[in-house]
Amino acid sequence: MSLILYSGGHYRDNEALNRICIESTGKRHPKITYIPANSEWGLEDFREFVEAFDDIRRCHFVYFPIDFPFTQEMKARALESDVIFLSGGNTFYFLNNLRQTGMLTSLKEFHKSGKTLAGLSAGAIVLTPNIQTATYPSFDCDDNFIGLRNLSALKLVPAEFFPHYTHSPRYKKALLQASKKAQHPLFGVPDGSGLIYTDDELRILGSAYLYHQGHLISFARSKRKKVARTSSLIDTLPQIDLSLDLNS
Amino acid sequence: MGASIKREHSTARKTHKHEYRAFDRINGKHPLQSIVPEMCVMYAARKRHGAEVAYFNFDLAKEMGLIPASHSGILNADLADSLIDSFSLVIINEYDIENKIQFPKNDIKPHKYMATRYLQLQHPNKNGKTSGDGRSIWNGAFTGKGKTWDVSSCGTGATCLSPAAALYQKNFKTGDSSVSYGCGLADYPDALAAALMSEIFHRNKYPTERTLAILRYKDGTSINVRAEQNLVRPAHLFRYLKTGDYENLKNITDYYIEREKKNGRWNPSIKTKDPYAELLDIFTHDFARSAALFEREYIFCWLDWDGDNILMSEAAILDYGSVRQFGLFHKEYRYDDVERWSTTILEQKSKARYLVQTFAQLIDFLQHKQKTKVPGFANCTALTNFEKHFQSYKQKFLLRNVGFTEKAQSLLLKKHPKKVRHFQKLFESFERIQSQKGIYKVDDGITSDAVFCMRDVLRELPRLFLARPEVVKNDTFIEIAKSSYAADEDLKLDTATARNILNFQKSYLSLISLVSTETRTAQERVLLEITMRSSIHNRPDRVTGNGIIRVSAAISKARGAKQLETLRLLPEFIRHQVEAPTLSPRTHNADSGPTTDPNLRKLFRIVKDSREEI
Repeated sequence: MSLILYSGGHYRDNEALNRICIESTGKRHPKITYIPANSEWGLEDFREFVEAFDDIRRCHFVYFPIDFPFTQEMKARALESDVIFLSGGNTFYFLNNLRQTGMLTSLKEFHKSGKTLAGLSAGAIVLTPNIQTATYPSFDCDDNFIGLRNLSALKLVPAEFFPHYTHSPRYKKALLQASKKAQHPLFGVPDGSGLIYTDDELRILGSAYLYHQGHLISFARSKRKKVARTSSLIDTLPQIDLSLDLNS
Repeated sequence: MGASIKREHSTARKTHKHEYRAFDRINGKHPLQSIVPEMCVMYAARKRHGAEVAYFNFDLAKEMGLIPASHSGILNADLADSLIDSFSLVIINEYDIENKIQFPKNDIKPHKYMATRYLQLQHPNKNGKTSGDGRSIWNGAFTGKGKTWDVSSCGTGATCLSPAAALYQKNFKTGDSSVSYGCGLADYPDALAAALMSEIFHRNKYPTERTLAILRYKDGTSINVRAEQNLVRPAHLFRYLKTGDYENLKNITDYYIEREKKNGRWNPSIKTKDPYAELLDIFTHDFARSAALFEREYIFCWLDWDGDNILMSEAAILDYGSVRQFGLFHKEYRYDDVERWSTTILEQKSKARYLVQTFAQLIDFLQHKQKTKVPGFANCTALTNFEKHFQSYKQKFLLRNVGFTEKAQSLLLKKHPKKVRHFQKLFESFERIQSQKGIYKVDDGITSDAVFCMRDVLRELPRLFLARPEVVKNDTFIEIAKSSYAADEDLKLDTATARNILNFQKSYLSLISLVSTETRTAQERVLLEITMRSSIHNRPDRVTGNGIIRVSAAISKARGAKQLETLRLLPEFIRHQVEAPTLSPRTHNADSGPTTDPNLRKLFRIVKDSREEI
């Protein structure tokens, strides 16, 4: 029952997370369903995704775009996989399509059944309680061109996720400000890094900056590129209460 | 490609008029004027004032060598001025001369421009004595980067070769809209539609003329500047065949061959000492290929005995007035040309075949200086070759649309032709089913509605098989395949249809299995590749004829800054219609969203809403 949140970058730049994703299934050749955030760029990304995962181990891939009509049979077959991977893209557009197609409920059930859900950037944000992090800062936010108002998301991870984070003064300022209002801890995660949430334990691969109630309260870094075994790459996050009410 | 109309008075990088001197070489002069003077009606021309550049194809201009490869995609003032100087003109026609209309001397262009004579079925005289370029002139020939291009403009005034001039036996004033086909001007939305559709076709490797520029005027008219490496049509040659004018037929044919050779397009599949025999062989191949392409890609291009609406070279499309790309196989659509109906999509092949038969007659005339009647070529080798090429290309294009790689296509066609034919038969049995509604009238003709969208099937089926390699149930297949036109009675499942659904899927999987075995690739991997390729080939938002008309109308209706902004987005719009199965990883972060520009999204919405139309 793993949730893997990628910040961003090319799929090949996330080898350690890819490896964790594959190993989480416990299968030699896992079946992975790839859901693009939008079909406009979906195939180019999917090919890159396939190549990156194939570099680690041969997997079985399923491509399942949801922003054009699909049959229930296609949905049923797509949900038979061991992993569902939600790609990056426009978070508002993606969440809206997931909601309108009934995929939010299906993904929750998929996760409940013990399978792995992973996402990159927008795909990672939708695993969290809401997609507020896509709304700021003004210099680096998604365009809510569809005018989506209901920003509540899957609520499977008890923290908010800010992808493509750069530890610069202006990002720091924006996240400090946002964390004052946020109802959950807020992680700023640079490209190539990610979070792994399994059995109520949240772990970091690479770097992450944790903001909470207007403070930067934790920081972690692992030498992700130098060690081959993924289990040793992960720092368990200390000193933070994650027992938050996800329904709040 | 670019369509930016922003006039930039460059501060970052100064441009100079001399950078655009190449345009001065497009001045009306063309070798045909001395090689086949009888073919050319020469007109003096004058400046037409009030033009603004609405569209400029930067990529084409770079390919032609008109502008440097390093040129930005922004239209600066000097470039706009050069385009207007070169192309904003109107002929001084017979009406002007008869009525002794005077024009300022400074407005008169230094050289004359030609309208060309060719056969046209719209004309009462079927020997081409009165027909040809009715509202176009040839701006000239331009040589750059080792290739010679023909440049012509549509909307430059009424010539004596228009159908109206022939019908009414009089010359018309340019702009006289009292008669159809007579005013000599072109409408801006039509020019824009032609520019968009031709560029999309070009990017998808369909042979076609292309639009270099559109000049727009306040009265809603435009001049549409087109370019191609050889703008000679079969109709140019057929005219001399009809009249038995051996000398001029030989002159234009030799000229045509020479241009093709110089441009590196002369690739005969047979090697003989007789260039005319080689030409027939190439013509047969190219017309079979295009006919197969039109049928497979649902392209309506009105072919007829006159050899108009298509180019000799590569059997490329030209004159987009009636050209359409259908979303489905609407097999009864006919264009209403006032006094006659066009061919249907299925009749195009027989017309292309007849053009080959006529061309065989033409070559025989060139070889023997004696004309044999066209029925005498009903059993000629060229027609046998035409049939062979047509069937081969149709199957190849179908396999490509399924998503097979070039290698897999060749392998299946070579080693398993029966299996491919079986698949094709089943595919077409679904593709061609029309709604029980029957034939009905539409804006520009009549049509019937296809019940199934087989492009959707080709896109969705591999995804389903990839997820679980089992045939899908009948209702799932119907759900994927049914078009928005399908009524309940069209979708009633009889025993034969149910059997065909199963057989189609089995046939599909058997082709996958064959490629898997022959290439020693896991079946799942073949399906994975096919999933990716077929998703592009059979994109759900492929633009149709109606779609492009509505997109052009929407852009034309916009005013001021909004129109400029929308025009600036045209390269992006075209890029979205390009089928590029060889996907390469993107260079940017794997995190791009959909297009959020509201103007572009509006155009996409139009495309999506009309995706199944004619």
